[in-house]
Amino acid sequence: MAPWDLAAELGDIVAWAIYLLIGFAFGFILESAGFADARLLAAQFYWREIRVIQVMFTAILVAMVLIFWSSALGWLDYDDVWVNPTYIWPGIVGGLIMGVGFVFAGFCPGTSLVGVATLKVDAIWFVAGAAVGIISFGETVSFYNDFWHSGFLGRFTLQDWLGLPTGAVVLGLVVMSLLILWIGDIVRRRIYGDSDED
Amino acid sequence: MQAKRNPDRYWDPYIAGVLLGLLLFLTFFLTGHGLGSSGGVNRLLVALEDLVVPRHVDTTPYLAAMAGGERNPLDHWIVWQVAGILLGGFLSGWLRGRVRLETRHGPLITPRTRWVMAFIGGVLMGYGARLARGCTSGQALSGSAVLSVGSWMFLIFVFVGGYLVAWFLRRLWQPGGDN
Amino acid sequence: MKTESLHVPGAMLLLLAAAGLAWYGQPVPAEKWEFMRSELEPRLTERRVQIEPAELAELMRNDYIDLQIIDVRNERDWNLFHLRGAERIPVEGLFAQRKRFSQLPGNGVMVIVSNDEATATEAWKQVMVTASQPNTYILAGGINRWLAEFAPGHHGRKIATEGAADERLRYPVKKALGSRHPAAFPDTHHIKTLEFESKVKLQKRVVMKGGCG
Repeated sequence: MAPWDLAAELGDIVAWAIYLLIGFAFGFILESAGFADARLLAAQFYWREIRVIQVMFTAILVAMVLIFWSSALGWLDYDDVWVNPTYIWPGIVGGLIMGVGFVFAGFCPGTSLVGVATLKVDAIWFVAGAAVGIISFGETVSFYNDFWHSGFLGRFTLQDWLGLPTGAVVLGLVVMSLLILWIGDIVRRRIYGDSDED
Repeated sequence: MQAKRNPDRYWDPYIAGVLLGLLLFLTFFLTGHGLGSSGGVNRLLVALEDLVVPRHVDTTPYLAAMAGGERNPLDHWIVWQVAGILLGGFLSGWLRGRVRLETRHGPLITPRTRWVMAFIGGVLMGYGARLARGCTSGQALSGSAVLSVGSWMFLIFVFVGGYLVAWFLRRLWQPGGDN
Repeated sequence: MKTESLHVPGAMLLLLAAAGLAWYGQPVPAEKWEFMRSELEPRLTERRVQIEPAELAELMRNDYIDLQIIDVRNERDWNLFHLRGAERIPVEGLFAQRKRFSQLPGNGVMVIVSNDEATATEAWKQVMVTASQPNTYILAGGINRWLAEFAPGHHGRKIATEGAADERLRYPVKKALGSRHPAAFPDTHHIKTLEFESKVKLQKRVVMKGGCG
C-alpha cells in the first residue's frame, strides 16, 4: 500500500532521480503557467489576473480528490501520509508576512526558482533577499522560541476539527473553491470589463 | 475573437492546475509527502553556513537540527526537488524562448526599484516561510490537499496579507501603457 | 485547441468525483485490514514482530529508545503483575489513542503485551491498521512466558509456558504486587545470560519526517 519509503525500497540513486523528476515537472508546469513573470503573479492582488488562485485551487482540489479516492480504494494509506502539523500562531503571522512579501516581490519561493531558471534578474534579487530572510530567522528564532512553538495541535485535519467525515469535507471544499473561482472571475471581469483572456 | 493580453503564450491556468494537481497526487502517492521549495533553499544556505561558520551552526539549535555535527543538510529529498525545479523551469522557458536576462517590472517604476522591492519581498518571504514552516508550495499547496488545518489557515492569511497591502503598493504593479 | 470549453465540464467532473467520495466513504478499520493484509499478515506468520522477553528486558534498559509498553490485559491481572513502566489500555481503548501511536517519536518503540499472544496480536493488528505505526511489536509468549523466564522458581516455568494459549495468567502470582514484583524490571545480570534473536529495528516514517525540511 502506498506510500513507500523510496530510498529504502529502491535505493538512494533511484529515489533522488524520482525527486529530481518530480521537481522537474513542477518547475516545467509553473513556468508554462507563466509564473516566472512577477507581474502576472502580483496582478492577482489587483484582480487583473486570477491565474494564481486558478492554478492553486485547481491543483489542490484535483490532488485532494485523487488522494482520497486512492485511500477509499485501499491504494494509499492516508494515515501514513505527511500532513503538515498545525501551529496556529506562527502559521498566521508567517502567512501574513508572506502575503505582504508577495506583493512587494511578486514571487514566492517556488516561483522565484522558476524565475531564476529563466534568468529574471528580479528573481535573483528575490532569492538574495530570501537568503537574508532565512538566515535572519535562524539567528532570531531563539529569542521567541515559545512563540514559534505556540498553538501546536499536531496532525490536525479539517475532519478532526469539524467532526465531519472526510468525504463531506472534501465535497465542501470543492464546492467552496469552485464558487471562489467563479466569483473571482466575475470580479475580474467587472473591474476590467474584459473579454476572455488567454 | 479573443484579445490576447499576454504576448507570451502561457498555458490555460485551469489546465496547468489540473496537471499540477496530478503531479501533487503522484508525489503524495509515491513518497507520502507533498511538494516543497523553501526548504531546499533553506538547506542550501545552511550547507553554506556550515562551511563558513560550522561552530555557530553546531551551537544554534535551529541550525544544528539540520547540519549540526556530522549531519549533511543536503541529504534531503527537497534539495533534489529544488534542483529539478530549476531544470524544469529552465527547459520550459528555453523551449518557448522565454529565457532572457531581463527584469519584469511595472512600467511606472524603474528596474532598480524593482530589484529593491524584490529583495525586500524576498527577505519577508524567507523569514515568513521559516516562521510558518513552509511556503506556498509546501504548506499552502501540499498541506491543503491533505486537509491540514494549519495549511488552510496559512493559505487564507497569505491572501489576507497580500490584499491588505496591495493598495498601498499599487504603483509597483500598475500596468500603464503596455503590459 | 480551445481549452475554455473544458472548464465547465471539468468542474462538473470534479464535483461529481467529490460527491462520489462523500458517498463511498473512507475505509473502516476492518476494510483497511483487508487492504493491508498481504503486507501485514506475513509479519505475524513469519514471527518478525514477536520479540522475546529477553529483548524486551534489554529495551527497558536502553536509554536511546523511547519504549512504550502497552498492556492490554484486564485489571485483575494487571494488579497481580505488570511490567515496570507499562501502561494499561484495554483493546477497546486503542482506537482512541491512534493519533498518539501514529506520532511516536523517531526513536519510539511500542511493545504490546497480554498474558499469551492472542489478545496482543489482535491489538497489534488494530494499531497497524488505525495508526500505521511500524515500530510496534508483540511480546512473544506474553506475560506467562515473561514470568517463567524472570520470576524465581523453576516450577512456574512449566505451568506458564505449556498448556493452552488461553490468555489466562497461569503463572502463580501469590500477592498482587503489580510492578513491585521483582520480575517487573529484571536485572542486567540475568539479561546478559540470555540469548535471543533481535528483531526490533527502528523504521523511519514519512508521516513523522516529511515536510518542507
